[in-house]
Amino acid sequence: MKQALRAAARPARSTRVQPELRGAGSATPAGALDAVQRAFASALRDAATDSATIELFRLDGQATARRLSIYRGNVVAAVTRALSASHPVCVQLVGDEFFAGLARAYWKSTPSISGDLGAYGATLGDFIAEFEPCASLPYLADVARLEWAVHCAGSASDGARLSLAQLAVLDAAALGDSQLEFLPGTALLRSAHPITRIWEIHQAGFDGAFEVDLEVAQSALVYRDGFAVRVIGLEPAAAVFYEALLARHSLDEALDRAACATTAGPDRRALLVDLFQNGPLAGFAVHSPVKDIA
Amino acid sequence: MSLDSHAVGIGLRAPHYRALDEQRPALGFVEVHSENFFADGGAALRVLERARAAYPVSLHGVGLSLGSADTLATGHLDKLARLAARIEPCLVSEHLCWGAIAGSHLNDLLPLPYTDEALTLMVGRVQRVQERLARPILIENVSAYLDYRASTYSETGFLAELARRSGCQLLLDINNLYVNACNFGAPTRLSDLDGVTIGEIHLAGHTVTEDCLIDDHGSRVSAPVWALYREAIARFGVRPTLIEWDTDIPELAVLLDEASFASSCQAGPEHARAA
Repeated sequence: MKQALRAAARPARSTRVQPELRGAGSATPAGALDAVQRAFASALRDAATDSATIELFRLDGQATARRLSIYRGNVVAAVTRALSASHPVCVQLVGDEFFAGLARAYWKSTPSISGDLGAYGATLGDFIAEFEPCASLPYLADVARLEWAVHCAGSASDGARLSLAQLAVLDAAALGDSQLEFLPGTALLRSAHPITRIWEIHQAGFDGAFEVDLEVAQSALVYRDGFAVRVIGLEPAAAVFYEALLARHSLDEALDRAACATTAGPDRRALLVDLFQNGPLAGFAVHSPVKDIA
Repeated sequence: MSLDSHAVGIGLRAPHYRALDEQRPALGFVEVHSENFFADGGAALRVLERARAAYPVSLHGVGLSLGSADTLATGHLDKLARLAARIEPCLVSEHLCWGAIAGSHLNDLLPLPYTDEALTLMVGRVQRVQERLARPILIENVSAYLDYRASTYSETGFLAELARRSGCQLLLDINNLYVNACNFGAPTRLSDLDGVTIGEIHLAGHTVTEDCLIDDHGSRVSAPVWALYREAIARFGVRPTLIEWDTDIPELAVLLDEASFASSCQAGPEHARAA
């Protein structure tokens, strides 16, 4: 079979070799490449490979099967590496071996659709929520969702923070009516589990008590502060407040929603102070006339 | 910008970001995987911009899947164009391979059958990328564990035709040539290639198994690959050369040592240390 290559004529850069007229590739009809790639891809997805696919290759059947398994291993390893990089806390929670199995199962159900593996894994949390072997870790799905939000915030556009001086042009009514804009990548996750705490104690350099109260529900505000991604735990009223703001409701509307979220009523002043001192704000849009500052 | 033919560089990977930034070793260039910097912003891009301030940067793509029978991923190409505009790379390269079909990606560098159909497809794709980026690109030969009965060109013959018809340059991966020669029991045919088309050379380590050679970029460049590198230099002349290391990445000093050995090979047989 290798004779064809060796026997090729070699006057002055002749690059042709004789095709082997045998097997599935022999006809080489128009569009054969599409069929070849579909067969190859399906052989990498499923360990069982049909004889027509084996026949595409020069090596004998056993050798081809061995070589296909090298590719299969590489493909799954790449996906596992990418998901491990974007979900390092999940890896710590379940261990490398379990995570590799999880990654393989996820990949089988949800193939990558981008040549950039950094874009792969957006729905891992949703998959975990339905994946029976993860049922004993009810918080894992939300931790995965949180890690994806962290991953996205880390690669979002570099935004400039809003300075309070920019807001000073608004009077109280205009401010209440305004829609606040957050830094790119800012996200809010609500969870019935202590996801912020779980995330925090699994960060490199964490030196506090390695303890979690699994009964606590937590919401997380995720944003980027310079090049560092912050994950901030929010009280229920604050979570409703930020959720409304991120959904582009006006400041007044968000405060009203927060007020309805707790029986005691939220501390409106505390919410506003925290928002304007610490919130990842990038800008605002007003619907009322701007106060003349001349 | 153009790169000096004697430039020797290393593939810049995350474990070395900090060491490179602090030590700023003398290197002709650094090369990164383009997709690792497709983000809109953030820390990784900042790292690359800092590296770019100190070195020429080569953008080496692994995900465009040029040889796929699917339509070209224009969104992916747009991101590459955005990155190239931002970094002003010395070189932009991709692979002679496919990685996606029927809308889903395998995220691997899979071999093509070397047929006229594949050649026509690749020529068109390379030209589209070159038009989009407004510059020639380099296409690299990949390592492979399988080759196709349907092939009507040798690998090097296909590369030569691709360069001739598309106007692209070639990124000759010497380790991949060696791995394929061993895996398919076929001789490496450097004589198929025209030296003027070769714009860069890659060197990396492989693992020898009972069945075949695995191109894992996880060790030093092997002696037979250094020998083939010297043969390529003798035939084509000195070319910008890159040391790649992607698994079991050692400390930066080991890569710099490999780079320094590549430089000694470039300087000629009388300067080369024993491999």
